[in-house]
Amino acid sequence: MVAGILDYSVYIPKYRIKAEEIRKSWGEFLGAGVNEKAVCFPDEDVITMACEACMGVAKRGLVDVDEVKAIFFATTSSHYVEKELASTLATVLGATRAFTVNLGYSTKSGTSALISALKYVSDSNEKALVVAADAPRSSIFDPLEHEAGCGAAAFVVQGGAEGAIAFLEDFASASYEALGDRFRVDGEKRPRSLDVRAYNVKVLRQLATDCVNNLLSKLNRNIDAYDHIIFTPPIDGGRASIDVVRSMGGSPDKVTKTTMSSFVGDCGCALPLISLAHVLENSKPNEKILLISYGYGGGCDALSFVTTEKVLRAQSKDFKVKDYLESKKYIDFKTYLRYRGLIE
Amino acid sequence: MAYIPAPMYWGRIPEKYRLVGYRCKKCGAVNFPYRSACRQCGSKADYEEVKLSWRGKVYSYSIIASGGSPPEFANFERAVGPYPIAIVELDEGLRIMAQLTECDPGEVKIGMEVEATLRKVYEDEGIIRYGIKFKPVRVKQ
Repeated sequence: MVAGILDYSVYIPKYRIKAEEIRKSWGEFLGAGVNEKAVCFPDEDVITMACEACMGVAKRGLVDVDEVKAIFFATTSSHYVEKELASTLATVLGATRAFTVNLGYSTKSGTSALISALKYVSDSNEKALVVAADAPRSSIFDPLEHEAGCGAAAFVVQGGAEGAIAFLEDFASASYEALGDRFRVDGEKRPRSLDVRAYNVKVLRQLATDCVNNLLSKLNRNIDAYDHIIFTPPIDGGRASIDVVRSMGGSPDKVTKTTMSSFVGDCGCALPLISLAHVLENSKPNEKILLISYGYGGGCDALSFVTTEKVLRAQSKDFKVKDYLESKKYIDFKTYLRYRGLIE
Repeated sequence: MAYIPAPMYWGRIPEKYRLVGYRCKKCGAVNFPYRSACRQCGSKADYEEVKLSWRGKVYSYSIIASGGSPPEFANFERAVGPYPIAIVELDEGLRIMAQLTECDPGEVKIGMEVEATLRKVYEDEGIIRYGIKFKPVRVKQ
């Protein structure tokens, strides 16, 4: 299987709130590891953010986005529980003959989409678009709300060897039932968690260790062979992921420098892909990237990428990840409550 | 409520989602939004679709103050307060009317550079009506 990433873009809403502002106004801030986070404007949702990320790829000009043959869209927080979502993106992009795949249910559905798209194109030289957008929400009394951010990432992938800025070397998964670490019940807007920290950490550790060990043995290498490690779930303020990597012999620094939840919040299934775009923008040719993604309820994906010389060309393009991270406007707590619709 | 039935909205998806205009095959004038007769030559609609530029400048504007919105915009207004609508002159010269988003009333200026963005316009009967709005240019090339 030969397939790789041609280009990427992200969308992070302009509005941000600092943890300190919530702590000051609400009396406490429960989002461990989050310093500030992105907040959707009231007319934004996962579809509009996904469109912005796709338009970002189009504006960068490396790839004709309307040529994609398939669109894989992932979210866990759509307004609709049943309705085509990727078709909305196809319409905006003018790719109305694309095959669409709608993924959800899991916070790892972003990497499920990326793996599925790379497999889909691997037998041809067709292009596919992968988009993940998420905006989890909860009650202001719940730690989930305090850590909840929002954002989107889009990638164009292609089969064959030409043009890729990074190749997928291989991937592995671990899928083993986990109960109650985080879930959302039909008809409810807010995810729930039993909030048993030690249990959540234990489940994450078991699945991630199994998943990553499987990938490493397939590739016959150690975890310290990686230049960048992305492992985003904000469980225990991100400390749980760092502990997993450390216990496997990896350097914690490689995880912390890719951790984006500290300044955009928990963007659900989009966070691993936003982080991947950020790493690609800051990597050198021939570097190895390990992307680990956790799906609450018992799923883990690990993907191994290696960058090519062409990553430098992508980095020279306008509409960078950095631009979306740095162009921001801070809001106060009252505005936050209004924008998030937390008062009903 | 300025009720637009979903089937009618669906018929206008290209202009609402992609900012597609309609070039009159007779006189070449671009119409936006769709008109059953060309705004320039008055001939019966016979158009080719053209994708309009997603960039432009504020030609003129007005502020919708509290209570000034149609009911379908009430939730949006409750969340953001008074908001501007504008006549935007697109890069190709065509002027169209659109809501400005992510823009405080005090921020909007004639001549301000704006870019198109797909946003929720309103929700009705559980259906989200998406559409093009304009916002101040955020990331410059």
